[in-house]
Amino acid sequence: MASDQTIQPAQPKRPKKRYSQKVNDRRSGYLFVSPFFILFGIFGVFPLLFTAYLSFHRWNILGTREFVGFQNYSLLFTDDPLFWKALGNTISIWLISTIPQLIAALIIAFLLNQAFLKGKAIFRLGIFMPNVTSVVAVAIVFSAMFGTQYGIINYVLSLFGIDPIHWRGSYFGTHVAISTMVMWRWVGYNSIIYLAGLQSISKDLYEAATIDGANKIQQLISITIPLLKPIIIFTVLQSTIGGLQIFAEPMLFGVGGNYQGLTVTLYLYEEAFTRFSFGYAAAIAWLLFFIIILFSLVNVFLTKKIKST
Amino acid sequence: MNKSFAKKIGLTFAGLGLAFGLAACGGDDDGDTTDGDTADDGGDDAAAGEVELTLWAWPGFGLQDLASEYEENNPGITINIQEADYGDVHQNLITALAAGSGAPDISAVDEGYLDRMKENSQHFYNLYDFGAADLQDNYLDWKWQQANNVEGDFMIGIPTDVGPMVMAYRMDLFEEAGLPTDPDEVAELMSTWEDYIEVGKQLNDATGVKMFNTISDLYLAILEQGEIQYFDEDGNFVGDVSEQNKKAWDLAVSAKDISMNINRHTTEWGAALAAGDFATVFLPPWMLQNIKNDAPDTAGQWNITFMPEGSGNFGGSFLTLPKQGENAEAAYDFITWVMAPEQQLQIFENSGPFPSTPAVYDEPSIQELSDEFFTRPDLGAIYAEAAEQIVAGIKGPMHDPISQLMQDALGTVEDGTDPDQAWESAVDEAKRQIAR
Amino acid sequence: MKEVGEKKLSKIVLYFFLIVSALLSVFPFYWMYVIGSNSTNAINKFPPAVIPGTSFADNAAKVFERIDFFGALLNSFIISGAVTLSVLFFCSLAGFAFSKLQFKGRDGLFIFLLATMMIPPQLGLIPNFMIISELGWLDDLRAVIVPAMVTAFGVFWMRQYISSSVPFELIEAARIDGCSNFRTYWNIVLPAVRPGLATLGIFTFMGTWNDFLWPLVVLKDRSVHTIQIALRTLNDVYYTDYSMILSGTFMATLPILVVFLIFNRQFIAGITEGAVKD
Repeated sequence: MASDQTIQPAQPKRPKKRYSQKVNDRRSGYLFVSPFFILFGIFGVFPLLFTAYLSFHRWNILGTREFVGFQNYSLLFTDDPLFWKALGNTISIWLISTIPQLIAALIIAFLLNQAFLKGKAIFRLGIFMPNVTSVVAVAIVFSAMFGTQYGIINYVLSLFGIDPIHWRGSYFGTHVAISTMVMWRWVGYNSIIYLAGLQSISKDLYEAATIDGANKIQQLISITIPLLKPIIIFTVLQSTIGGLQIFAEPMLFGVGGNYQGLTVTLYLYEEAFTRFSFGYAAAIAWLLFFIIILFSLVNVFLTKKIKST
Repeated sequence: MNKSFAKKIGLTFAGLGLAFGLAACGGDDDGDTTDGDTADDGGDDAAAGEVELTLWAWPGFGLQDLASEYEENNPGITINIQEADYGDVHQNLITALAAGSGAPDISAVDEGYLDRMKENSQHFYNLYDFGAADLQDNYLDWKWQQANNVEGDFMIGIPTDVGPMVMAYRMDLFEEAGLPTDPDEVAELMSTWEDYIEVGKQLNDATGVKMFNTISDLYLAILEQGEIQYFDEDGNFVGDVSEQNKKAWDLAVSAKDISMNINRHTTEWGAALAAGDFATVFLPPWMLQNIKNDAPDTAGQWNITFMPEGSGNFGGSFLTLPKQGENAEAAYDFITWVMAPEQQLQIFENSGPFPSTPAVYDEPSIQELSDEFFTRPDLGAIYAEAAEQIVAGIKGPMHDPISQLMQDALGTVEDGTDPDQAWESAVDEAKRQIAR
Repeated sequence: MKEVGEKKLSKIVLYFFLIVSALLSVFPFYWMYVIGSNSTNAINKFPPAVIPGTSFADNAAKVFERIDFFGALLNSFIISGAVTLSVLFFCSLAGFAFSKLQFKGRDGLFIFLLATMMIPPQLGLIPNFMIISELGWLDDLRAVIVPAMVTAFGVFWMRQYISSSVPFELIEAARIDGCSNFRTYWNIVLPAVRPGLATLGIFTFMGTWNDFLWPLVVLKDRSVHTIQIALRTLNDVYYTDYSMILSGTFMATLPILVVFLIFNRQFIAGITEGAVKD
């Protein structure tokens, strides 16, 4: 109604086409993106504000709520070695899992996109399989494989004369085990994403490059990667967010006595649901939120840089 | 232009409608019963004698048959048992209580969460208001005390099962090490924890086999035998000076060399059991089945006797009535019936949880519980005796998180950290977490 | 000659690499079947069991006895299907707007949308539970469907995909033909982004199918359990029967594979279409 009135005075019936297109775009734009924001308004804003409010309180999840100002935050910064340890673990696990994961995914996608390849559908299904398998099953299987004394991986290592690795008792072991689980689950996923992106790159470009004598690796670097830029940014950002929120894998694998597998979201969850300090957990959530934003910005910046060189 | 705009809106809503339509189908399909339920819970129907009680529990409670029996004998009452994974039941209960709605009429609460719930007793009905005091004599005293607040005037839940601990040991390995294999002799040989560790070292020297799985389990077993563990009667943290805690810690640390360094309930634990790589297990009745399934080939090589220095408890729960429930009276009637001695015996016979009602301990089905796998013909009797030896330790809301810290610290000791350093950082972290 | 030989060699290397990757990917899935078809202590065996046993039917029967497997499967289908359809529609629509339409505050809104992805989900449990309970949707499939109907992830993905694969000229051409924005979206953009939609469809369906953190909190009655929640109730506190659990999990995964194959055809269809256009 209101918009009708504003449009009526716009006198001429057919002004410059540009203008009406602009109005049109604006309206459709708002309309098309509105479902997300409406839903977010209902299911996203309230939790966010609620959490922010809680982070300034000392709240036993079931009991009394007491305003404490910035105390939760100052405790986090000054007197909580476990939080910083968890943050360190999270970043370490994220780095060990993300970088090889994205590179491997890109290579696999590139190979799967080769025209001559037979059995594409089967390979694609095979590679995607890990992501379909439920995390719980993955954890059971990997826990058995990463057993220190009875696990198949140490058994295989021993065949090569390598000493058994204490997967649950050392930083190295736990981080590698958890990262392997993460990597195993997400390489195929990212390959499929890249593959979808590769579909839109015209075959002519590759043919032209082949005629110019560029080999496959040169093609990958000079055609595929630049043209995939929006998709690569997507995966980098997504792995950053997902990696910094990693939860299920460390929970199911076990964090270890030194808490070398404790990640920030796991710490947050335990703080809320096993120690009932919901206010403190809320403060962790907000801090984590900022840390993720920071990392994402840095990553997007770096990704853009790499591309333009 | 306006027309196309309207069309767009139309299409958008058609899309929305499609999704909602589907959702509504789904909802209705399964929601029918649920919708009925909410109506049942309302006043009108309740007045007419139609009551539906929802009950949250995790698998293994064995209540379904008894609930059906109860429904038959009490027309107008239906009992809807909603099962979820152990951790999920507690998480859901916490969520519903914190959110202010959605809790069931009856919820099971494990002893590990009990003190944190007791601290927030405003969310639960006080069972003494319904006359629960009359039932006290039916239950093991220590178990009853667990459900009470410090003052003894608030009762949060009716006791369900208990997990008295005994010790299972591998006779063949003991024999190989030149140790006695008769249960009484073994018990006498290991009357103290120091003896137990000494025997473990002998066994390890003679056979190369370890004595137990991990020192944090040994620590827990010892800790649980004391009355004051981490908190005193007034709720002050005394973990850093408590005698029982220090004793348990020191003994556990000293037994590092005879431990496998493998946690319970992992696939490695099963593998080690099957391979016969450690010789003793402290276990409540429900854990017998784990050994049988994990190491079927060790049948007949096990025997069972008492643990050193008494018994201990591992597991066991309570049925509570959250205040959000609308049928407290009916719910109370049901839980007191279903956890009365006869019914507990029935649960034990059907599915295994060990009763918390000593009156039935003399029943043949308990006394004569035997198992060739574990050699003894009087398994039930020994568990019944162990159950009555248990002392009620003082827990407090932060007991479990702190216990976890200490166990984790022992895990690092086992991996090579200096014990004093591990102790210090665990105690520091405990104090930090209590302060939050 | 030499060149041909080299080509052959590189092909062999490529196949070898892909086959190894595929085997590594499939192995844990296969092992799930191995354990699911043995008795539970097979998981403890050392060296481990790698050959399927004969007890799959027994283990599956135990699963069917303890949970309403097919009822839960149906719920999962309803939820995942509804969520997927709605996500495909709304996210591609919003993605189109974010990448091809000019409107004030567009970039700001988009960054805001990205920021919402960064909120750790665990803390939303309690406040969201309050909302759902207020709406009266506890134990109602809508509690799981509605909040997931359009996701930041999906919008982000569709925006990136549309901007990388739909050139502006195409949009301009449609406009010159007098298409409204919605027409342009429906007739021009959607067909051009089929591989992207197929990808989003697979991920959404699968993610919804496997999700349990949120459904667990709002769907408690047996009649509304999804398959993942039903499977979780196989976890006995006292004793974990791995064979039974893994046989159930294995069976619950098969439907997603079917869905994958269906979308995969879309995927291929998208490719051939692109080829024809070239």
